[in-house]
Order: sequence, then C-alpha cells, then structure tokens
Amino acid sequence: MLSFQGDSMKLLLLVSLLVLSACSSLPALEQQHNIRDDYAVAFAALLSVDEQRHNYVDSQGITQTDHLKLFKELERVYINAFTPDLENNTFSPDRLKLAIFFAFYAEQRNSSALQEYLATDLMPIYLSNRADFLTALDELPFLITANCDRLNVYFGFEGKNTSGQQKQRFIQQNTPLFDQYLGPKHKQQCLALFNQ
Amino acid sequence: MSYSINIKRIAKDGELTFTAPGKTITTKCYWNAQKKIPAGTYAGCSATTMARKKNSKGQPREAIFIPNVKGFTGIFIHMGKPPYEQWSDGCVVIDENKMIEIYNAISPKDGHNVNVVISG
Repeated sequence: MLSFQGDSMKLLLLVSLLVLSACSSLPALEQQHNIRDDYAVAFAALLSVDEQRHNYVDSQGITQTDHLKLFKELERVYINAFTPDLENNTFSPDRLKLAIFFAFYAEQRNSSALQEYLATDLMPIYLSNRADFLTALDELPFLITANCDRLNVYFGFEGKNTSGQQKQRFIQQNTPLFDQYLGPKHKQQCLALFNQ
Repeated sequence: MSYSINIKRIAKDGELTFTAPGKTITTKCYWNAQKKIPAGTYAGCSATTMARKKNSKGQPREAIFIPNVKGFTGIFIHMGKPPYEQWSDGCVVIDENKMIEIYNAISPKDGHNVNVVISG
C-alpha cells in the first residue's frame, strides 16, 4: 500500500511537472502567434487587402468597409511594436524591425496619424537601441528614408525640441555611429534627411 | 442622430463649423500646407480617440476620424496648439477646448455618424 502510494505520488509529481512545463511554454507560443498576427495586419494594411473583415451597415442600409476599425487594429499592432519586449527599454531584433517598418508604412500610405505618432515615438526607441536600429536600417535600406525623416521631424513636431542646437548636437553625437553601422551610401542617405 | 462638420479653408487657416441638433460650434482650423487633404464630402466619419496621443490631461486625444480620403490614410481632426501647423502631418487641427466640446456632443462614439465637408 505504501509502495503504491509512493508510485502514485511519483506519477502525480511527474504529471504535474509535465503540465507545468507545457504551461510555461504557452506564453512563448502565444507571443509568437500574436506577433505573426501583427505581421499579417501590418502587411494587409500596406496593401489594402482583406479590408472586408471589418465592415458596418450605414444609415442607407449599405455595407461599408469600416476604416476606423481597420485603423484601430493597425494602431493596436503599432502600440505592441513600440512596447519594449526586453529589459532597459530595449527591443528584440524582430520587434524593432516591426516598429521601424511602421515608418515605411506611414510614408508609403501617407498615414497622417501614424506619421504624427512616429514623430514623437521613434526617437526614444532609436536612443535606447542605437546599434540594433542602425544595423536593421543597413540590412533593410528601403526603411532608411522613412525612418531618418521621422527622426528628423522629432525636432520641432508639436512645437517641442525646437532649438537648432538640439538637432545639431544629435547629428554630432550620432554621426560616428552612422559611420560605424551604416555603409557610406546609407549614411549619406540618412544624414541628408537632417539637412532639409 | 447624425452630425455635420463644415471646413472652409482660406489661405493658411480656415473656419470649422460643427452642427448638431440644437448646437453649433464654430472655430478656426489649421493644417500642414504641404500635406493638404483633398476637398470633398466625407460620409461615415466618427468621434473617437487616438490611443497613442494624449490631450492636456494625459488622456487619449479626442478626434474625428475621416475615412476614404484619396491619397491619404489615418486622417483625423484633432487638437493642436500654436504653432498649429507643427501639430499636423495631414490632419486638421483645432483648439483643444473646441475639440473636446465637439467630441462630447457626438453620441455614440465610433458611430460613423458624422458628415464632414471640406472646401477650399
């Protein structure tokens, strides 16, 4: 009886450990799933595809695409992308790429709201992830113009950070990093945006 | 119930008039001259909030969402302060107290119940 109880306890412990182990991997799986959903939303927004997933019936009884819901869905993905997923306000490479993709999206789709969001949101991310940020731009040069433009617009948007000295100091302090992480052509491409 | 907003653009600023049953609000409005949205009639607009921007009280910024603007996405009417044009990358900007008054007058929110007409 005692042996049976001992075996039962062992079995119970083993099952508990297996369940705990399965549960502990759930957040990682869920996070992976969520970020894949986020990629799908961002890409669908760039191409204006699958918009019929959100619609409403207007006062004339006609079904219309719900562009507000589509915007709010994209805004949710944007907020996720701009939330640090590592310690000390830092981002994993994948999340950082999604964040800087939004500058490209906003430029290409002329998204006024997201351009306005990025004018204040992008600089803090750059400042706390400089090496990874610039490495991603060098790897994905189609993102350079949109991102450097939004970093430049930070100086003056909403009447903040308007002193020319702040911008000059930023250029002075960051040019060596541009030298280090961006190729010469990409560095010129980015710096040109700050001289407009 | 439906609401209307009429924006008359003149030179660098313009006049925005909001109309609801028994209520009219008129105020100056502004925009970024380099990113001027097309004049036209925009149905199915909504009072909503911009989750990533804050008002002066630190709450999500009140706004009117304008869909189906040719050549643009994410267009809103929202608050701004002098220099107003520096608060816009295509959106229409008005003073915060007027924005909140208009937002509060519209019910329900996110209701596709506002008609916006832009001229000039």
